[in-house]
Amino acid sequence: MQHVNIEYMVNQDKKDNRGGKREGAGRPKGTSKLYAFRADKEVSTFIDEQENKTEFIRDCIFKELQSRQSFDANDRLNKLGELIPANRIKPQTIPFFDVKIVAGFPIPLNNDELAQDIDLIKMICPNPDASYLIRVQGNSMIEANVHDGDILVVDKSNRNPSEKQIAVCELNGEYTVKYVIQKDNRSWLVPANPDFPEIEITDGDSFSVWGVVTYILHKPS
Amino acid sequence: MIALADCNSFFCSVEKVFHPGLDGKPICVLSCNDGCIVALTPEAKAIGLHRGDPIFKMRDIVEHNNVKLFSTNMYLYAAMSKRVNNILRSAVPHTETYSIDESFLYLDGMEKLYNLEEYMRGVAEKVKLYTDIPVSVGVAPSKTLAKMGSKFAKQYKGYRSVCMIDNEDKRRKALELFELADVWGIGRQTLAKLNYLGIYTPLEFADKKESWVRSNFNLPGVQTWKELNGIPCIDTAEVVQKQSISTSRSFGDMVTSIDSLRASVADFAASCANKLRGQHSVASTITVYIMSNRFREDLPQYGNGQTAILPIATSDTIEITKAALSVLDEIFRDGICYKKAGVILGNISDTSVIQQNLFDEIKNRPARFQLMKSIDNLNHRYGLKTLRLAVEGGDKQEWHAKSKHRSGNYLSDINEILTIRI
Repeated sequence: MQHVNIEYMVNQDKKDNRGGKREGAGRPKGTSKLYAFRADKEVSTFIDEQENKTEFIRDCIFKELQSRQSFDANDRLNKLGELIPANRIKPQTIPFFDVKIVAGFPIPLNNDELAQDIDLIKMICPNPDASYLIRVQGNSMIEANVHDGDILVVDKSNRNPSEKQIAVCELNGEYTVKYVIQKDNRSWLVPANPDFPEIEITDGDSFSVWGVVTYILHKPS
Repeated sequence: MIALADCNSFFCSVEKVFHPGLDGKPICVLSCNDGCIVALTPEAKAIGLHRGDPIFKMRDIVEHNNVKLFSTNMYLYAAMSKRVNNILRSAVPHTETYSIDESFLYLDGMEKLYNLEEYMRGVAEKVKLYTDIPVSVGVAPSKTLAKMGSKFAKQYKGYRSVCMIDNEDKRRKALELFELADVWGIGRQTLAKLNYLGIYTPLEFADKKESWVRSNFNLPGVQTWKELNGIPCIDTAEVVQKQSISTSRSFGDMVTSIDSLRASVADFAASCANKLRGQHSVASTITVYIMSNRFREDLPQYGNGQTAILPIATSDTIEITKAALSVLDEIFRDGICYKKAGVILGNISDTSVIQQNLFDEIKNRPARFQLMKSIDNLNHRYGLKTLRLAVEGGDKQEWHAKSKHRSGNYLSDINEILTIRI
């Protein structure tokens, strides 16, 4: 009983025409081919001089074929399509005949000449294990181009700032950012803003240099 | 020769880098959830605080002495530890990170080129200059002796950060002065046994005959004895692979809903799986436990834990989380205020020895392994938990630990970097 059922289903499948080969599917079979080719200077000027390039090339081939074969080649040549300049065809599809003529010189790229991206990190902190980012609030160093909200790249490995270097210091339990300047054998913390006072560092103060600013990261508003 | 570089009260030293005016002040770092003291400065020890003290019992001392408290911020400490290690690595050919604040440095071959003591002093100074973290270095023929050296260097300023035990006289003197209980590898039981056998200093132990040591102790004891005699034989790389991995936490507020509990257990499971992959291991048992607050006797009490066994050992976050959640569903009881939950992975083995199973439900293991690798890479690059399972939940969760005094992630989050008013 079961066996009969299965046979029935198989037959049904055939009736429904499910699966299998579809007649007439796929690309139509033909014998024509598309050609594109490259012509060197002399040949190309010659072809360009012709009034109808397609006609001209067709004629040439026709003559060649006629001299060889007796059957009527005209019929086939009529199927030859329009001549298309090679540059209008995607490069991958071009069968490349001409190996003698190359446009331009190939410049080999040596490995050591390969372009490197600029390493921004390396540029702003040459010493990454000693570099720290610190955000500033306030305007006491505005004339040194340190604006409110800027991020400073601070190098801790330098604890001896020159008078032109912006220093991050600890003074009496507070961090601050100033110039450290020696005047008359005394040390001063000097702001870069006339509205702020210079602070003298006296013997009673607890003072240390935390690091020196190597870059100021400023986001234009 | 081997050197041990040990950062002095590392957690506190890191906090000092970013908080001005704490030099010479007592500082304590508290365990996650602000429960106990996990790290403290010598100044804090001097006023009677100890590692492990519950902080609520110490309120008086803390307030009276103006002790500065910090909540543990492992991200910050790990970032700083990485910097210290980078500097150490650039100084010697081979290093081995033993813990977050200790590294072994292999100096073999360098003694011909450098005065090792001066060279290591230079390295310690460089670490101090670059990071403000003070390090103590012990230099000796074996790791156990190097550890002793670093303790001496920390204890006595005269060593100027480096204590070198490089000849017989120095070794004997060090062994004579050192506390037996503090010797690396001598635990409470070994100590009791040594005392019972009449040994009270490391020197007495080191001077025993090998046959005597072998008849009284097993391999670790013999290794310690050899190391004390300047024969290196402890391979720390082996020690590092852990036998079980666990993540547990007390909740900041008590948790009652299954959803919050699921989020926390999923989070712990993911964190365990992450640690597991970090050491290239796989696990096959997953234990989940939950408990109520035993100090709240007015509330109904409940605690339970169960273990799931996976057919195939894995380090896959998805598998481990699924198993953990199914265990949780079994042990969860409604109407309880939960205070703590945890996940423990056990039966850990190396990735290379995964047992195959005929009835494996996961068809594409290599692809899943690759997926985990990609997730780890993304999270490594863009920050922890950038990519996570949805069940782990978002950032703001009621079960998250209390950390009132947590410092910013000064080194790893641009939104939390140190800000200075100028």
